[in-house]
Amino acid sequence: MPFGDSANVDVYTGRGDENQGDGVSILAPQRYWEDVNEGDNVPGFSHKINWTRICMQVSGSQDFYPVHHDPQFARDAGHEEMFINTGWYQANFGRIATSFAGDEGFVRRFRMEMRRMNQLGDVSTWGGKVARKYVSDEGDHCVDLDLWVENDRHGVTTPAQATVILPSKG
Amino acid sequence: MGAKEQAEEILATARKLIGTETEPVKARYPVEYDPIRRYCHSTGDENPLYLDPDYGKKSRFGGTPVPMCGVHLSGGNGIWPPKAETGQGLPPVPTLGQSAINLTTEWEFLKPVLVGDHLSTSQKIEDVYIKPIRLDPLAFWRVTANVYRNSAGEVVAIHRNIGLAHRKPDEVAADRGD
Repeated sequence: MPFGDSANVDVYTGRGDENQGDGVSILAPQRYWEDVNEGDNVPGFSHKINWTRICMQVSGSQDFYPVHHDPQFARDAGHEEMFINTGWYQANFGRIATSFAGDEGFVRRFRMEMRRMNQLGDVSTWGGKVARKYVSDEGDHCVDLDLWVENDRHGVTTPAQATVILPSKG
Repeated sequence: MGAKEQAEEILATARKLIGTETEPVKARYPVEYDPIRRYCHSTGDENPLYLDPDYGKKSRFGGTPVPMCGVHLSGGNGIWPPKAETGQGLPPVPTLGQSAINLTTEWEFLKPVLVGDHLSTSQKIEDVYIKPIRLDPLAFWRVTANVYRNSAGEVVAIHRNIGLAHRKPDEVAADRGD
């Protein structure tokens, strides 16, 4: 995708909102491909999965399957507890990847594997690292991110990967 | 008939659906601000690119884009109000158990989707198979794909989903004769 003249453009630096549970801003000035190194940390955040967050994940994703908001339904289905839904995983990984991309970047691909649950009472911590940077055959300046969410019960529950196209200074 | 034989019979029927693909179906509503706001609220994302229409207008997008996988919010009819069955969607894939879990999602994003776009979605059944999980040795796995198109008919995103349907513990126990 084409990029405009984005040199020295700062994007929103943000601020946390403690009412939403994490109080962490991961937005930063626009990243350029040349400034990224393999192994760099990708800023993340944590969420306490309390009842309010359970409501918010249903609201945000519009996923009303009861296994994500009805504890008894989840237990009857054989699960320890109700667990967060696919849309909310995607939304959180999206928050990380789109914040990394900035206004001038674009997330080109995303993949995640939900191997273990994040459920009521967990603190889920979302983060990542830069796995690879390269110029694609199409000439895009790409960065592959390894992303994950972890909790105290299981460690990493859901590994993910994203490919972000960043603006180049070149 | 035992559960294994029943599962194999259901699987044979389900696998006949592999390759079934729908025509693009226009979503009930165009892409709107408020679903994006709720989506961002759920994760604490305060990015004004998604939340402030004026900021979006001044961005290189010239409008408010949908954040990444949030495309799915605007690609269908939503969960409510109910819409009369049109026959335009995928047929249900028969499975032994009826409890669902999603496992893997893959997305390819080809073009930004902006507020005001009106998406159409086509769906495809790509695979159905049986693979055991902790809860059920006869879990049915399903691979489906959604292709999202914008108002101009351009493909903007492709989403592949791998999920499964399993039996409840009491159903599995009954099968074992517990």
